[in-house]
Amino acid sequence: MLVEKIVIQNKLGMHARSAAMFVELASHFQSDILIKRDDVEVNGKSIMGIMMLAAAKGTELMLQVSGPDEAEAMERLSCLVNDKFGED
Amino acid sequence: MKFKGIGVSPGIAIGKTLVLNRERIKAETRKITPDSAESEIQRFRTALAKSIEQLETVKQHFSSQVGESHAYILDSHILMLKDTMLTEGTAEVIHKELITAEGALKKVLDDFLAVFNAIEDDYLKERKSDIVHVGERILQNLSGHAQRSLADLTEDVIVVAHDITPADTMQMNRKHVKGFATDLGGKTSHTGIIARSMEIPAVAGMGDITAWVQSGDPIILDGSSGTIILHPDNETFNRYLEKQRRYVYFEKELQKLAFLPAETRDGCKIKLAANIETPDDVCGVLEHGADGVGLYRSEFLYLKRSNLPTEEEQFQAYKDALEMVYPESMVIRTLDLGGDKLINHIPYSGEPNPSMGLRAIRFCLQHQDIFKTQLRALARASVYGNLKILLPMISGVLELRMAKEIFYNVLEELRREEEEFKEKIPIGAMIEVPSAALVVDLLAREVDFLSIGTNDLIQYTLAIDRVNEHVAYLYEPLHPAVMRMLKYVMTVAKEVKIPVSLCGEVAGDPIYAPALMGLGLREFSMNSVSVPRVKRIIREVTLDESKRLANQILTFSTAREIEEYTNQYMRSRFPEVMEWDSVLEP
Repeated sequence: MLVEKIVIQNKLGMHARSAAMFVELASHFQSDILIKRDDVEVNGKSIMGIMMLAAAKGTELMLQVSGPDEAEAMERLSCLVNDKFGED
Repeated sequence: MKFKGIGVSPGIAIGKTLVLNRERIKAETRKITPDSAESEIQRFRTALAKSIEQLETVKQHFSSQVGESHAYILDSHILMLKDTMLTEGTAEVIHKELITAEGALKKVLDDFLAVFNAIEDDYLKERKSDIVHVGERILQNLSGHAQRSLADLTEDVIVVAHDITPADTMQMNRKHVKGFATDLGGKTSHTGIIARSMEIPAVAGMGDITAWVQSGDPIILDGSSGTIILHPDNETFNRYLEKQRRYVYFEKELQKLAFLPAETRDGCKIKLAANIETPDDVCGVLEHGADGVGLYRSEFLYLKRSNLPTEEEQFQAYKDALEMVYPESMVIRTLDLGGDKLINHIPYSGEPNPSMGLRAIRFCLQHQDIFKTQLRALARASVYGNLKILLPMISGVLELRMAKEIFYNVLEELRREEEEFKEKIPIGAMIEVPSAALVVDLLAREVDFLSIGTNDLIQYTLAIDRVNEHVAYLYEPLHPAVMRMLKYVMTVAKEVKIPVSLCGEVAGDPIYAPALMGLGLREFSMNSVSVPRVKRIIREVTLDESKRLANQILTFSTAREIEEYTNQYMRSRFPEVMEWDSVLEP
């Protein structure tokens, strides 16, 4: 199991489009993907779960990935977040 | 009667109201028997499938009409319809509490909405409406009610509704919908975003406008100021008719300029090219009358995907774009990754200071396989148009030579394979690092053209990280140091007779156009929409006065003085033109 802290850096936060991109990427992996904010924990493959986190710019989240492809999943997902979901 | 809301899409519409009465479907919470639970869940799943199917249809229709860029809104709605929290959550409630699908869905959605109500961030809070829209669609499909579509209108109307879903706006028949107003929503609502892209005037956040208006009522909608006037009196009606006429006139005047040359009153020709990110953007380039493409940011081919684009894929993208722009030229910048633009599929070392790290040409020189693939695709595409290749982040002559050597090797390789390519493809260097600006005379000897990238040049010259909020206030495009650097680069370029263009946000701002010309600039590259606005100013000035303005600017000691002087000068010199801008941009 891998755990990493991620920080939302794009201006608009995890809104519909960025959440959709995250879910689409996460769904490619077999691993279980969880995102935690404080004491709320949601499934990283659920767009509604992610939207419920209300992660605005600057929010710190814990990304927890466990499964056969956890290393690749972690790397690609954290890249997506650090890439600000392709927004400028 | 006058109502004030938020203008979310500019323009003025005058006409007859159509109140869109989305029949609110009552979510009936009735009890069911244990043995009908399975069939109730099945009924729910059928409604889900139907909802997904409807959205897919709208998406296909809309993408082909308006382009892909806004289809993501529907993608997120489709993902919600497939989300297990919603699908399995509702099925579970039906099963456990033995209530109808409508009641179970309402329970699940209410739980979500309760969370959203507590959100403080406005933009994220706005996303609540996405969930409401998705929920209503499922309810409608559960009830079997046909949805009234705005696609089959037969007369001109201004649509007034409590809320309009993104799917509604996408399907709207633009010929007959002249504007729309909603009780809910704001500037960042999807509805506003789409209205702007479809160029329909719109206001949102009207509170309870639907309670005041009936279908058929005469109405004026001003999407620039966010105003609605119901039952206007004659005087108001005439005033707005005049305002609308002026608005349409300004837009038309701007559009007319698209096909006139960008030439000063004393006959100096200026080249106004466009910046683009995808081949789709080429349409806008042609419509706005830009002189070709001055900057095609190729990295968008590489982003948001899980593998690298193949040579063939890139070749096709470059070829398509080159053909569309021909006979004008197109400058394609080679991969500019790193810094604030990271790539998913390339290992990234987590540099503490990425904008000064391994990016752009530095990255390409270290990952030569990636660089070569792009250069091969570019060279092969060169036969289909007027290609120029631009190398980003060059900091000195050595880097330039290394990159050029790789390029010549690639050409050699293609020659051996008997692939077609143009023999003389112009190569240019981006001037965006201060060291490159200071040795621009040396660089100029070894390239065919130069392109100043102000965004980065400003950041590196002033040592300001654009994204660092603590120092962002020091990011001053008009800093005297930047002005001197621009002046120096353009003076040297003129001496050695090499073309130099400028891309970056400054290039697209009409207020700065004369000053930049005065500093020696003859080629601008900007977003297509800015081209007519900048052109309008250029056609009004003389080169002489531009030079005087630039010389005056160079005497100031601070960015603020430069900015104030320029603003004041432009305002008194072009009062009418500046007024246009205030009408066009709410």
